Amino acid sequence: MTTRSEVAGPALLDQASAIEASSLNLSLVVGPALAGALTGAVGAATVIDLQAALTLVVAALIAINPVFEARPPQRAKNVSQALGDGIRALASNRVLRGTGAASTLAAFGWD
Amino acid sequence: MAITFPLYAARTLHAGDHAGGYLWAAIAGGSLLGTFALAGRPSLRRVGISYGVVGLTALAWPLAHTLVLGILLIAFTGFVEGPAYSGTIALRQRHTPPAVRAQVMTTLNGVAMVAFAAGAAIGGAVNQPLPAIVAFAVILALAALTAATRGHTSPAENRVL
Repeated sequence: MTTRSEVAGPALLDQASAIEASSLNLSLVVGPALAGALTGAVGAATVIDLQAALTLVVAALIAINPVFEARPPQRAKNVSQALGDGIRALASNRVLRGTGAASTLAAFGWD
Repeated sequence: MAITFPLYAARTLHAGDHAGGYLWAAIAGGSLLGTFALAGRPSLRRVGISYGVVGLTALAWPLAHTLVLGILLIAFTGFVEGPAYSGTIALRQRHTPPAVRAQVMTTLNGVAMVAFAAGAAIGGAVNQPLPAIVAFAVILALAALTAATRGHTSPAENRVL
């Protein structure tokens, strides 16, 4: 999510955001169906093992992909500085405040 | 809805609590279509309207008493939620300074996880589909007001960072 702007660039940002939203939705449609089918075929415990293995594969793919190094050189020194920077940026921008508050309420409502 | 969908599926749609999974798939499928069918320039007002319509469409869910009708109504809710979802992602990307993008996204995702957990806990305490759906509509109306009252996103504010 963080690297999307650097990867897509300004001109394709909206399309990239739509594709990301779609891929997350698609995973919600396909994932449970696939999990259900696999659970029926090989059992729940095996499917959980498979999920854990898949997560490790994804982590490895992220780790070796240079795209995820497409980030600005300025980095936080520690967690508290990162948190402070994030909150200050959120508080100082009306659009970020608006989307942040609205999406938090929506997340609260959806679950 | 993690709590309410299975209850709604079992008690209102008479389809068994396992049908809650179909309802999540319906939301996601509808949102997938809505993201492209209702595509437009992302703005706070557009996100707010989308959230408001989501809340209104949810009020129709209790009218369904069959699984097929429930899936159709919930898929429609997902459809109108598409612009809010993709619009929120796009606006955040546009307005977050590149130097603190990771910090902002991590903070927002952390807050969303807390909100999910709190919502699920309250949904479990309510344990009734109708009050939970009405509460959902009210919360989405608040989300709509929160976004829409920030007004139009001006061209200057909509610049790509």
